[in-house]
Amino acid sequence: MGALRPCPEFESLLLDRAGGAIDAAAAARLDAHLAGCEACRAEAAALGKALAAAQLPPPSEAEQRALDRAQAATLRHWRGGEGSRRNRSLLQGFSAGFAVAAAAAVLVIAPGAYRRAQEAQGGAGTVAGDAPGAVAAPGEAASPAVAGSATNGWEPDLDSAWETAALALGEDAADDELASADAADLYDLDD
Amino acid sequence: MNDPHDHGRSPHLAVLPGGAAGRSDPALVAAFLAGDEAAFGDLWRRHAPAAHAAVRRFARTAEDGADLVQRAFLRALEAARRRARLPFRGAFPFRPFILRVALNLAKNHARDEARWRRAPLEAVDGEALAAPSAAEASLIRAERDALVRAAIRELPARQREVLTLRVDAGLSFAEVAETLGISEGNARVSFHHAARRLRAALAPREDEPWAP
Repeated sequence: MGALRPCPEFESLLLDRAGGAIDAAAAARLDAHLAGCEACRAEAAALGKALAAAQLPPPSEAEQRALDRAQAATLRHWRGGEGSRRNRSLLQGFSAGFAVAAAAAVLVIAPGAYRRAQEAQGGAGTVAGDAPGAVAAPGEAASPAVAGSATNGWEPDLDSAWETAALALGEDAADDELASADAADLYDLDD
Repeated sequence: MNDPHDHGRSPHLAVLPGGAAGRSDPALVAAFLAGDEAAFGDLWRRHAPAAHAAVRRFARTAEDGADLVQRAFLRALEAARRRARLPFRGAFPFRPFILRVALNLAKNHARDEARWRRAPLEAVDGEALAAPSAAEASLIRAERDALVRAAIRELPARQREVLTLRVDAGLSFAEVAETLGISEGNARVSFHHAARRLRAALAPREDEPWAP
């Protein structure tokens, strides 16, 4: 081990040069100093050797082949993930669309159905109650055709419609949770 | 790669591809997310070598190293995709992001493996082995390299990260700083500390025959 110590005022420049990051003016100043300072020359050589030893060799053929395979594999993985994301997105769109359609149907059908049901009930009550004043509005409610349409014909299945809508919304919620889990995993960059 | 102070770069400190001409990273990322797979090839060629260089020291096998690069790419692309959905988004810093992720994944990998990969010295010493005194020289050099590698293992995490990105991945100090989220001055100082330690690891061997 050499007993000579490098000049403290040039140590930083020696390290900059060893790191390959020294500007031209500083390099010229250092070179002028090195020409007359054996200790700094030795230090420069020692730093160069240390950093050369720290370097890894170029990638081997096996490493390069593995990296080439990884390129194709990365694209394949991305396509696979993209596919499931697209399917999920389609499902989300379908579910949301179905929920909206179901809700709209309920809004359109429910009031009319309710009114008809009430009218049908009112008509029946009039007959059963034998109210003499009921003649004021026998009208349509007394009509067998209309009454039949309210009681024996198609009725909107509201429970079923709401269940379907809730199911569709529930799928969306599940997908949101899944997306959150993905995000949490993605940004798990612990040091 | 655009460090204005990087004149006189040491010949043994390689600079890996990173700022190749052509479409910018944001343009390539956007094109790829829109389905242009050729853009992926460009991104890979531009950034995979540096990402690979950053993880090699931590990877036990060739497959491990490639797998770490693949995972870093997928995470970076996923993050870019999520960023693209934001209404007021800035350009996604693909290269710093992928290098940072690669380094983190590699550190976790090394921690899981609980061992350090020995560099294949035969690849380094190919020329020395052809010399007449090859056997002795290569043994001495192997010993020196082992000393330095041991010293690298002992470096504080920040210094080792800076050394890895600068020496292994060939990043400029500006890029090292951007990748690690520190100032360029901080990156340089960390490198100085690391270089001093590595040089000190060799100090007792200065008068050995391999010294010029």
